[in-house]
Amino acid sequence: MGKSTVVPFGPQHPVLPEPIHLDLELQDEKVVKAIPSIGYIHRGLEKLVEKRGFQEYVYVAERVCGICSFGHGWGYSKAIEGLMGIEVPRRAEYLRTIWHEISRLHSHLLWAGLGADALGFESLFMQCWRIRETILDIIEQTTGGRVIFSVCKVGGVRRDIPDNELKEIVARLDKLKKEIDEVATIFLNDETIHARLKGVGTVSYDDAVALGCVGPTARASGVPQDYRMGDEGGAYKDLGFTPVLATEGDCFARAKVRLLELYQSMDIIKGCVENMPAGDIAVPVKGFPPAAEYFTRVEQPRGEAVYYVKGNKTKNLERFRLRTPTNANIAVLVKMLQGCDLADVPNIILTIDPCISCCER
Amino acid sequence: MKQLIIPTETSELLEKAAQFKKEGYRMTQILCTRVAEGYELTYSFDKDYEMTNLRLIVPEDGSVMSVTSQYWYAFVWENEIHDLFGLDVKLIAPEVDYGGKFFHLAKPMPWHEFANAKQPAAAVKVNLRSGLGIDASVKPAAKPAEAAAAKPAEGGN
Repeated sequence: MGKSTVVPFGPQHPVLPEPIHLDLELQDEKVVKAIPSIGYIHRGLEKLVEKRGFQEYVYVAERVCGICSFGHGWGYSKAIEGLMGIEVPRRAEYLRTIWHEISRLHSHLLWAGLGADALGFESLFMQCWRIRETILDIIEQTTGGRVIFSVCKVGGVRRDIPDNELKEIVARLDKLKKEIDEVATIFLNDETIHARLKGVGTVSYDDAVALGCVGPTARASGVPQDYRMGDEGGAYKDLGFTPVLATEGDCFARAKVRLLELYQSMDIIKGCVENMPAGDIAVPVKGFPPAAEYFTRVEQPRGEAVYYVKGNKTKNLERFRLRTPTNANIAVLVKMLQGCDLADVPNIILTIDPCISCCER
Repeated sequence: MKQLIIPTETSELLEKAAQFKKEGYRMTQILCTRVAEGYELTYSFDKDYEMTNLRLIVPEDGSVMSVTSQYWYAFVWENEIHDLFGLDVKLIAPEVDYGGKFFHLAKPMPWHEFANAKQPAAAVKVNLRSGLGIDASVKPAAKPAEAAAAKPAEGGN
């Protein structure tokens, strides 16, 4: 056994889309300890809630992260609606579900591209991001934006999607499914990908529970934890929902869960279109949030996010807090890195799909 | 979503956390808010998609025990609370007690200005290696031209 060496990993690294720093203590090529540190992209967005009106803050919440943008707007709006006792029209809930699942498609395809890139599989990276363009086109067609689209508001949504456009989206998704089949087949069957991801960064069911994992990271270890099962908002309860699970708990299982969730999201969107209720898309919001507090949750593409708001009978909230999925998955990352090879560190980090903007807010 | 918040004494925290763990609850977050009395801490636990919260008030010069002995992964939130709010969290599991170096920020925390508030002792210890981040304590080097002007030319009278 050689002597210990400390290798700094990040904050700038080719596999990291956002900055996080890890001090990796190595013995030969094995990582014996990983010490994370964050703060490179902290913007103090929670504090900004004291300066922006509670309705205006939806725009800020959406800017916590570019990929989970819609989900953050929805989570914040849901928390305010709970605080103020606002009942959102069913059509708005279905539209929110559609946009949220489209965002999940966007996020998972973006991740698949980044994962392929980290493996050195450039053509697969390009194909994943080419497919993702269609998703961004659907978002642009229905909202006018591509990444941050500001369509959610307290009390409902800002735009409706006409029925003919909903049918067109389903037709486009059917076409897209064939293209996703092709990249998923490569991901799930390619020997090089198996060699790099199978048996790497394995987290057992018991460890996943003990480490408080969320999202695809937990589900890849067989933990059936997905807030969409318990969500009273959106259309999940009406449509019925069962999470995608894998049992291997390794990097490959985490990739597999995300790829299979692409199909699930398309099915949810179809279910929403087929059962879309008629009616209003928003209700008027009167008055200010009361002097009370409210917790709510949303299942983001990376896992469960917790939203907390505290009102004080004024236009501004007293406190807004967001616990993001990456924040909850840092602990499992620290454990997974212990004992792995240095060459596997990028893949392990990427398969929790870290979103540092969300994590630091 | 049901909102269940249980007022708790700081001395009861570990016992209640142990009870939640025994009953199969997952810890979902720790929330810290500055209030007139000091710090308001909320520990959230989830079971079957129902959340139960423990609410503690810690005086400004007080401290709170770490719950990492029960929920190891709480170290992320406890380190964050220490670094951003300056609250002393005692006995975080030693391998994950980062001593104020978890959140690298150019401006020392906390941001709030209280007459009797102390800066977190560990937060001022943060020293980023040059080239790896922004270190507010390091002054930029003088430009070569200014440095040359400030230094008398060698051999001059």
